[in-house]
Amino acid sequence: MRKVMIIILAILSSCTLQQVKKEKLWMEDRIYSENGEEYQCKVTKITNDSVYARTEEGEVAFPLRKVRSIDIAKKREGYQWRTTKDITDPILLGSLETKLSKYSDEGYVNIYCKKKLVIEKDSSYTFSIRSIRGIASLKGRTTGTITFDYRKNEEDMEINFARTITKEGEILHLREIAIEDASIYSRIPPYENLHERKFAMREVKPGNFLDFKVTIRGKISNLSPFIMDATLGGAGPLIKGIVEVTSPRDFELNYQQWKLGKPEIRRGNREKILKWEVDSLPALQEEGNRPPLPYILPRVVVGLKDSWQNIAKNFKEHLQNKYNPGTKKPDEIYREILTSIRFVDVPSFTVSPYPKNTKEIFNNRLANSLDKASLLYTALRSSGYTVDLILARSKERGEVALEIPSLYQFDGALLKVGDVFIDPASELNPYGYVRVKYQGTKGLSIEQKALIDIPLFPPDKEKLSTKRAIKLDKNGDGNVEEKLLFSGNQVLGLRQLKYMRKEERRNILESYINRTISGAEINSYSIEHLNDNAPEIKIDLSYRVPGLGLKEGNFILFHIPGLEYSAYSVGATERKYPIFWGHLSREEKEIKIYLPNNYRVRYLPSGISCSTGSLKFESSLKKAEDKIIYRDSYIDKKQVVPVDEYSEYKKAIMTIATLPQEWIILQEVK
Amino acid sequence: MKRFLLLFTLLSLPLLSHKVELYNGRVIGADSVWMKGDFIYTEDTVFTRDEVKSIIFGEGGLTAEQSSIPQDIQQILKERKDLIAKYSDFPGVIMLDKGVNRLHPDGTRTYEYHFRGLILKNSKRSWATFQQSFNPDLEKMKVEMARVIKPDGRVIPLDMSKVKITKPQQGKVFFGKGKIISFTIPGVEMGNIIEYKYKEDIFNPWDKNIFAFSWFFGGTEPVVNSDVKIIIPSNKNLYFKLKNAKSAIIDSTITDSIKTYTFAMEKTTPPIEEPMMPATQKLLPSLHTSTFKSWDYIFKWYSDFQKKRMVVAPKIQRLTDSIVAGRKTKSEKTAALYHWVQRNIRYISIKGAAASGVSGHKASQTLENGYGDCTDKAILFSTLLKAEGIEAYPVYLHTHPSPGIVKEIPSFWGNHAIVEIFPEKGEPYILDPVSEYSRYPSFVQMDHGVYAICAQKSRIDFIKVPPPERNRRNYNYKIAVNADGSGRVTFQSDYTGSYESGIRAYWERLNSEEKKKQFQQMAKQTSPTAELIDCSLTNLTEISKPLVMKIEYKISDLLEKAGDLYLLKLPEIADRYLRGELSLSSRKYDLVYDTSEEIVHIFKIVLPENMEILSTSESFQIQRSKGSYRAGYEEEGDTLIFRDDWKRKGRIIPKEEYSEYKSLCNEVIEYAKKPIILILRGGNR
Repeated sequence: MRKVMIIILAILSSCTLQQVKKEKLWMEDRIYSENGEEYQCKVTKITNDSVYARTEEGEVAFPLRKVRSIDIAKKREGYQWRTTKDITDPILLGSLETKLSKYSDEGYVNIYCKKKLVIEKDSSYTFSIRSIRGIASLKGRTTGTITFDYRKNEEDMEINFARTITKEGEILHLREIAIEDASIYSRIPPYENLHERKFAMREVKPGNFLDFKVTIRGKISNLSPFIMDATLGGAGPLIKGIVEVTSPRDFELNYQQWKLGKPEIRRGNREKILKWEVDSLPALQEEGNRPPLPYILPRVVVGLKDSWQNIAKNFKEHLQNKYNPGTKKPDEIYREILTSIRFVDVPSFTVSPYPKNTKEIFNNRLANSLDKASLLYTALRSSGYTVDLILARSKERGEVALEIPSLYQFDGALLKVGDVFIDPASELNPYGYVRVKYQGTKGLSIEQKALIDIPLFPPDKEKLSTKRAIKLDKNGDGNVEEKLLFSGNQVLGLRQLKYMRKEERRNILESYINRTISGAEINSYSIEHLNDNAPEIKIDLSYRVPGLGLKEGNFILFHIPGLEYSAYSVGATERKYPIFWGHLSREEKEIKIYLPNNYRVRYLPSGISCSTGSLKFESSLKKAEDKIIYRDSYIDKKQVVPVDEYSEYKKAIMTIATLPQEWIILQEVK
Repeated sequence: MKRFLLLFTLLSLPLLSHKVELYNGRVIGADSVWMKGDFIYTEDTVFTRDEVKSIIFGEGGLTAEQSSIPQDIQQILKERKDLIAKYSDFPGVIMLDKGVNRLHPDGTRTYEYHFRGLILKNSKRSWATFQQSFNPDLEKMKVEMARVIKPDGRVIPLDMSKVKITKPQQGKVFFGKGKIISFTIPGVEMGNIIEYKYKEDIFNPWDKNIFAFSWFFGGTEPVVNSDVKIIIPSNKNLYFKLKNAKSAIIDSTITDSIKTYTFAMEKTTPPIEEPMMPATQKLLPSLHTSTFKSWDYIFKWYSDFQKKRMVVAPKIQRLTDSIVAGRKTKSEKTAALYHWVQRNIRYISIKGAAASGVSGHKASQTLENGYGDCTDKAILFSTLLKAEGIEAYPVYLHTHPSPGIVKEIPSFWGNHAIVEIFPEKGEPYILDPVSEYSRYPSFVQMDHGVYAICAQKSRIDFIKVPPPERNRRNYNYKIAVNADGSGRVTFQSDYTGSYESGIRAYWERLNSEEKKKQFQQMAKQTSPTAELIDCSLTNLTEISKPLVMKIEYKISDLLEKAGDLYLLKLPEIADRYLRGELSLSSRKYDLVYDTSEEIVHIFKIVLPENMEILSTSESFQIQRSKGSYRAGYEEEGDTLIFRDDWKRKGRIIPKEEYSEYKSLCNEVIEYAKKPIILILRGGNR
């Protein structure tokens, strides 16, 4: 180790005299001493028994036996710049002219952002991002920590520079100790590949500018079929955004863009350049249920020219046929693999677009979506079933770029057995259920060698049904018998209860009913289909609610118990983005309220019905002998409510939200 | 028939299954198995049908280590059988939890750990993946053994080449030298036993003289046997304290060179999760040890680092002078410096060695970087105060949910650093400059009611929970009801204490348009017919001044018609008293809040002339040991005024008082949600 440091020092000492002069203040090395103390300095010399360094206090010699370790700082592009007078980059100089006060409401402004991909003849590539950001007010200070991801086994990342230019004109360079490279999936060793490089900029204060550039390098190959999927803009406004792709002239690229015009194309003797530009992009607005960013930001996807057929064919060649579970029905094989292989939610594009071999998956007893699906695919085929493997992309990552055939577009996989799509992820997934993230998206069929539609489940398969029977006492207390039936997405969450102890389950259910009807005290409960893979879970609850009805003289007043409709989500007069649900759903309620003896209904509100392009609601309230019966049905008919439907959607929600506010009044009959 | 089908499959396809058990007792592992005629093939061996006793599929390419079950495995499996029946409700049970911590004469130390756990539910298959943090600059980690024991006695060892050392992702604001060592034991299924041993050589402890060590005889799963051995040189003494561990067995032996202490417990069970319960570590049986009887050495160790960092450099002095310029009293000056550090030093935590670990960086360096963590900010704030002649020092504490300090056992303590100020007159008090929104003299509630170590004053102080009025929320409403049942609501709120900080933090990150939308939503939450008229946030970014929120909205159905009656519900009040933490009928553990609370409402309601009040609730007052509430209506001219005041003292509701407290809160909400009943003048009562 000591040897390496000496070499580094030798290299540094070969700098020109002029550079050395400018280095006077360059004290970015760090010495860690044996007593736990640490020194920021410039290490100047290491001998057999001492380390010499320049610190704020002057030249210091540390006995070697007292030094635990040394961090030698890296000199990055422009490291010698000390003030704005040293800056030679016209883009940066121009950006420093920006009037930041204009952006104080947003906190910061991205003055310049360029994402540049260069593909070389030998298929190596560099992808760089240069960003110049102005901090306009205190709230912008949180934007000074920057993070970029890369795939460690296939790519290298470098921080070319990261500097703060203060309003006083001083340039503060990134400190080495404020950089960290970390593995995002370090806790799942077989899937450990995606890394993040993060760094904290100095003096992120109003009036200051941040200027940084990072570069990722890699090489395109069959096993690493590169794709660039870049967006522009974000939480802060963007003044100038550029995406530029340079490739050898004879390389054929496919590209697709959203919310951007077609690229400017320049052809040189040797290379071809595609360039997209955007000016003055406003900051994203925070809105509840905003669609994922790739749907609302300008986006460019670029890949090598290929066909879906070809990449499906290549993919299939990687699949192995080496696991036979014996003679079982598909759902039995599904359950066996689901329970025997632990699911880890690591997107396939972060590890490899091809699955691991079945032996490794089986040995690990642990797999991500792609690997688990490929194992099941192999098992089903070995058992003689006709099965298709469908590569899938989470809708949070934006839609599949149809024009850019590439395995890197996908992050998981499903299977299709006959007409049934199955999603072999966690062991909680029912046979035939596809997680919401993949519902209604496009996937690549490996057998059909084409993109196909993954079904969006109808509302009845994403349903919650509540049947609540309440016996109301004269003092206003209620005794409740409730039956809940869950299907679809909610089953996945509820089935987690099986991992808990009985008492923990009881606590959770008691908290659940308290969120619906405050003050409820659970008497008993039972859960059906918790431990199997049935598509539904049924919960029976028995509980008491003291003070469910308010006693006021000879009246008992109460709202329809357990209605939670609110107009909060539609408070805004208008929306900038659509409402994104990501799936369809249905909720049904039947609430029967048995009246106490000698009480009559003095007031009963009416039911409400409304229907729009994206929702349908019906409710009724009836008096029947000794009880009141409330019924409703609420259906979300679309996974996205477009902005132009917001007005009628809002009106409908406001109407529905009046129901929980309605009073029912009972009066004692003397 | 089944048998036939199985054979047919075997004939036709290679299998990824590999346990061929022979009649002579041998067990052969194999990647694939074929059968053709009277012969059974593995990839490298052919057996006659008569030699093979059974073929067990399903273990992939894993190789079983033994061909017969050794004695120790048999013993483990015997124990397994009993545990399955006994702990069927749990996801897993820890069969063995054994540690040995050895302090060497040169101050280095070695820690060895041995774990064995039985997986009873699929969720505990996560035990197959091991991970342990360490700092390679200080310690060396070695996995000595890892394996899975199958119910049939097969043992599959970990391929040691699969052990990885990586730097794990931490929060966006954290930078450090820590790494993790991790591996995944292959072939792990429900019902299997996981076992591993690792060794940690701490060749560079933070300080070779400080040896302090804690051990928990349990965790989130039941533990059958938990024991720890501590070995120290014979010239050292071990001071220890056991908590919640009455049944612990203690043993010690002394030789010429070493002293050995053993502490053991059997059959511990984990607490059942409850909302807002105390820190789990506080409930578990635990051991706390140290070779120090007094805190003096640790105080000095901390102090030395702190003093070197609290240097009033000229730049610090100039900054201090500029911040306090025009402020007259010490209190005003302290407040100005407090607000400056909060707002101007952004939170970034960079840890290098022990020095930055406990005491952060030099005050001047933090100032130069413009960022720092709790230790950095505590050092800088103390130094700025020092520059102004105000005595203040960084103090260490463990924030909520705090496991609680063991004052008798000196050790490195805490997860946070704040500042204790010693005024010339009066009691010392606490300020926490890490928060970005605390208005002097409030400080973030995670620091309330815990112990803090002030090394430079050699003292450990308890940070009192502020009284309810220091955590007050004032809500004022003016409601004008029109004859047609519509109305206008003007709402104004202000706060003291931590709640104000939370509100500021939420609103500051929104831009003007987002704020307006949020206000529109808040109005709409009170009623679907509510329409925002006006809204404002005064002093949002001026943290030295009280934040005031104002909202004005109109509602078309302020009065809810119910037959011939009209009901007026006081907006929002019932939601404000809803207590999710009281969802359980009874509790096993104390209910723990972060701090005290006071909520005050004043509603001034002007009714239309065509209506009269049929009923309002009677005045109400209730006082219990942990809280109190008083409320009531009164009429002043044409205005009906409702006033209430809720106070919760302290932050902990002991489990014995939970029922009384819950009943108090239920009475409060029941009262608060009662509507005012109106009727048209001259209507049928």
